Amino acid sequence: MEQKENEGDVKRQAIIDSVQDAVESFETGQRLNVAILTPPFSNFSIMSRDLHSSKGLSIKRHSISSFPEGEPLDEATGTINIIEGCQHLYRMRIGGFAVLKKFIRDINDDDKRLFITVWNANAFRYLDYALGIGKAFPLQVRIPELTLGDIREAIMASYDEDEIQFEYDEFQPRERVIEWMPTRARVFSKDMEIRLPRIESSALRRAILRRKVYLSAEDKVFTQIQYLSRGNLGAAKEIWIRSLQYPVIRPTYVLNACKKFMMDNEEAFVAANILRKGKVPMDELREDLGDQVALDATVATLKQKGIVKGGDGNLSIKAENLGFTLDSLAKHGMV
Amino acid sequence: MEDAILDFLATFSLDIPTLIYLFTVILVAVVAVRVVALTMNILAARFKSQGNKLRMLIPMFKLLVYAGVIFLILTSVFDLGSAEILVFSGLFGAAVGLGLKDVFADMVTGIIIVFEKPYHIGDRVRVEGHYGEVKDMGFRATRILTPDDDLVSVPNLLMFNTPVASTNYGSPHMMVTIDIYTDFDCDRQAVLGVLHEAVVTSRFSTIGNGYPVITLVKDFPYYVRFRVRSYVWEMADEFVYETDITVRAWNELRRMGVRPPRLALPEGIGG
Repeated sequence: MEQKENEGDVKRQAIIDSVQDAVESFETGQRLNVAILTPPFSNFSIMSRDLHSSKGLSIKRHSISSFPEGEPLDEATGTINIIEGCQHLYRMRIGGFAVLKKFIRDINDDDKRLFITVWNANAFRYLDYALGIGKAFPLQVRIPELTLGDIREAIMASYDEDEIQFEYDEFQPRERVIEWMPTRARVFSKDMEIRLPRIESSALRRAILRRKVYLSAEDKVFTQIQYLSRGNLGAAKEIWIRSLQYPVIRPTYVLNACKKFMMDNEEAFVAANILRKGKVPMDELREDLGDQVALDATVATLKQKGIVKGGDGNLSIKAENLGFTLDSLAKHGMV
Repeated sequence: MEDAILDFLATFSLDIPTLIYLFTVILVAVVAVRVVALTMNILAARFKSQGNKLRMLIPMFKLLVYAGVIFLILTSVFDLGSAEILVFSGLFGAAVGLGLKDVFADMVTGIIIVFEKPYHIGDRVRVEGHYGEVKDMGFRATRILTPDDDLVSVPNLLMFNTPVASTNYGSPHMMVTIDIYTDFDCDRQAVLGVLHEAVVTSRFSTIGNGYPVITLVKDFPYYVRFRVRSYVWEMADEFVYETDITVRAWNELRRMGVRPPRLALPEGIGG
């Protein structure tokens, strides 16, 4: 079966159409700089050839990594510039926002050119709250969470019909609606580790649905993948790869592919910064966060918990655990 | 009146089964209060955003249970008819008038505080020169744990009659004000920028909708005060947060050549 171009972005064309509208508005005199907000593990990329200028304006594509530090816009020589990887314009330390601030200032001042920027959505959200960068981009296009059908379509595109066997488990362990998670709490003036009940809303929802809707093994597998990946295709594919015992896949294989965990403040802080950058060198992280956390120990813990990976000096979030990582970061107010 | 009191006291009866009954009632009440307090504390740790509100159920429950216990004790040891209740009220009123009026006032205001909720258990409050976290709201006093780990008992009447500042009022996040003082000759815009970046890069900060970072500057005759108002995610990290911002900001300010205020002496003094 033929793979779709850029299969990671099922809704890619709709995004490009929005950007094309911004190009056409620019040609008629209305400049709307664009921020395309991509989720983690997205391989979204927009090429010069994806856009068209009826007035023949030059469209050029650049990546932040190709710009000399401090002068990103001097190299952006097109009238319409696509700039990718904008989450790398800042460093998470005092003095680390100078390049980004100049970039935003220059974009605002330059009314002769249109800028189409691509950002990690988590980084953009943080920077918008911290520095208010959202005002510089009147048009913000967010790649939406994928639906069950989108994920199924994207994953199954790689296989022939009936190639994969979806099976129910012979023995289906009862899904627990209440999970007891270890956590630190202050009880009777003492800090202690206790197990706290946590209601698994998805399990509860499934427990209720089970009485009403019959799910085939295939539906159940993809429902679980969609929930565990939070609609993120990169995460969904990783969960699929880890669950599939070719050619068989079962719902329990999917559940076993992901790991549950909790993070303390230091771990969440480091994980959030890795998530925002997508992939970040350990040395960069040490320079930026080293004065706030015991970085080596924290990264070691994150690896041991299955949250972060990286053997080549670059750290990234483990895709299969994205859902639980986002849950935990939300508890620390970091996403 | 004397006869009425004697009649009332004559209804007093205390035998072994009654003693066992009372002991059991008190024990059950104490255990129930402890269990509820423990459960609420655990739930508060789990549901942080509602934590302080959940903890407020502890004093309410305590109030109900202990009121019930007092009622059970009275009805067990006294045979209370309407005349006896009248006499008891008289005795009680006399006791209050003679020496227990402050205790009684503390109890009544304690009840009002529990229902009016000017602050919650877990809030950071400032009252009468004391600052700290409300650990418990008892019948007689509210207990505040100061940052120096002193447990201060403030009578409820005082909590009721004096202004109490609750810095977070039920929210787990609270605004923290941090001041930095510098020499007069400094680039004010640059210092404000450093303070802002110190906040947004701190692992303790709450960055988001409804949690603005506000930086302010005020000139004084011989120094400049820079002030940043921002929110800490975990209330318990208030002072660590303040330290984090101050230390990291000063590291950067020193690198930029900004100095702390210098002692200004009139000409001719100090060489």
